[in-house]
Amino acid sequence: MGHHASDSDAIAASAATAADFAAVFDRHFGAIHAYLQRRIGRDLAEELSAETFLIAFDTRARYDVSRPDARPWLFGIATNLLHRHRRHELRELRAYARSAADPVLDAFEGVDARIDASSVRRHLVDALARVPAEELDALLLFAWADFSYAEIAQALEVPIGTVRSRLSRARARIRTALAVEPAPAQPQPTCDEGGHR
Amino acid sequence: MNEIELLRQLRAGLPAAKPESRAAARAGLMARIEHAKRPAGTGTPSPWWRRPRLLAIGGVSLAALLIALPIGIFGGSGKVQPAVGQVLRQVARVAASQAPVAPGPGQYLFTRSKDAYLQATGYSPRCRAHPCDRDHPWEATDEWSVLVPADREAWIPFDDSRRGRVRVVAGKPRFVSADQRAGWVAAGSPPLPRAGRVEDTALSGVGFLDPSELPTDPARLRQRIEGREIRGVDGPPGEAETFTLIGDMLREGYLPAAVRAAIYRLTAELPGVELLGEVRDPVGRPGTGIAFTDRKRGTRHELIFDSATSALLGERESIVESGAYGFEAPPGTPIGYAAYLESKVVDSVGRGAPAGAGAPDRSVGCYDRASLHTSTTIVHGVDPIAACAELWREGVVDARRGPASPHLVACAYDGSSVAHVFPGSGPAVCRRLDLVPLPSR
Repeated sequence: MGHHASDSDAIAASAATAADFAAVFDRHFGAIHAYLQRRIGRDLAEELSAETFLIAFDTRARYDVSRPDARPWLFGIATNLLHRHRRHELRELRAYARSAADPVLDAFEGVDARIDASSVRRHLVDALARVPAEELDALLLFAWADFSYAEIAQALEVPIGTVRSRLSRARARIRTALAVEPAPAQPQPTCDEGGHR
Repeated sequence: MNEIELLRQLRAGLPAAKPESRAAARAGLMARIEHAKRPAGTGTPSPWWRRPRLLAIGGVSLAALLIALPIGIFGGSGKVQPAVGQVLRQVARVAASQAPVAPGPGQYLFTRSKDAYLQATGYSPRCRAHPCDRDHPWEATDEWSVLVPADREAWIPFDDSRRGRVRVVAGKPRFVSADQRAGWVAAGSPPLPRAGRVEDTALSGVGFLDPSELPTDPARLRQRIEGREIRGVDGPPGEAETFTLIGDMLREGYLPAAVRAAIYRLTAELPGVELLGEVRDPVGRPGTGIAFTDRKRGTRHELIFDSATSALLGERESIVESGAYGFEAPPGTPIGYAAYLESKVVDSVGRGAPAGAGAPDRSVGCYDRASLHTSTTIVHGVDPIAACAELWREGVVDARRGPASPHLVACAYDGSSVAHVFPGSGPAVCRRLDLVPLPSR
């Protein structure tokens, strides 16, 4: 197993020497795990981050080796896996919005602020639970994985214009829910908050 | 602070993966690498991005779909009650003998229900005189909890090759307690969520649970539910969660009679399940009730069955301790309910459906060459060739080409709904790749 300057070098080399693929794991496991954990909690994140790399290995022949950074590809795989657990993710967001206790944080001993009294935090979480899946993926890759528009486009395999519109729709939904801006349809600004659905 | 900065603070600073988890994941990968007998790029690739054929009911846009259901994670560790067992085994016998409402390909299961969900309604006294403080609207916000009743109709497609629909009409909100109402009155009775609001949503990626994943032996089914091994039936560990998942499986879905019977039998053996006896559902119909109390969350969830047909008639959720949901109210205060009124097979998503509802929805892979071993862009669309042509024109499939699409041909694995679209023309392109040509639209 040699040293590879870029992910694409490691992936290309792994066509002949499979063990070269371990370099991709070593570089990115931490980031993939952190992102998944933030979205669906510790237990499922352990399972899905391991599965992400197994799938990546199995499908490495399809990797476009003209892209040196494998992060968008790996996060795209992880996002696909997350969709199977959408119901779980939403249920936990709704639990957080309604009870102020975040089930994701609840799994850790010694993490502070389990009971979050801030109503803005709860409205934010409630709004997240109402953002459609494809917008949520774009939004959280942007906010939590620090992806650029181009990287999100690669990860979600959509045109960059689509990323732009998904992000702006998602952000508008959240702003509306936080009443930072009144919803355009409302003639009078109000602080009436959205539903906990 | 803008919404992205707020978002960045959410769940920030969680601990990194435990070293043993990382080591286990790496060992799993190395084992897979060891077993990779043939070089990459040979053999039939498995389309990993193919969505599971059958997903959980309400997998997408679920925010708008589900009634407020218990969120229990860590259940109380009660014992198995013999009386529960007797009653549920009887319900199971009925379930086994009932012909379920069974939709076929292209059809939908339509259900109509009345439900109510908890909503917090916030208000800042400053909003009355002038617009809310746009930077810190929440600082002066009071909040009251109301139950919003709703009429709900759902069209769940047979599988995820078509889009379903959910239409919800919200009713007049009702305060969860007299105290909540008094607080609202004291603040000058600010506006509440309006009655008559309609949410009409097209759903993609939903369908029924895959019966091939659902054992009819109660012990094995329970093992698979508790192991969270069934696609669409997942969640954290714990008996309260298992009870929730059982409710999920019985609601607005189709399951074979033998599987429904197995669900009732395994529920009979679930520790902590309590028999309520003959009770009324939220619209007053008599039925047999069972309940599970989740001490950790301070909530209780009731399921009510029709003992003559084994159908799930309704459910209720209430708090068992004041403050469980962030408001003070007596134990027993309801925080959600549902009554299932009608369930039938239909051939369409009904009149006035939102755009996309009822339309075919398939995964489409757009390939840059006539080979399965090349880079792929995945989209979801109604018309595979049109979807890929658009991506070609945008330079997404192959950035080196100008703003034009080559001739494209759509193929599929035999029996699969996933379309693979390649540059080229004629069915020979598909056959060379051992695929079946898809008829052009």
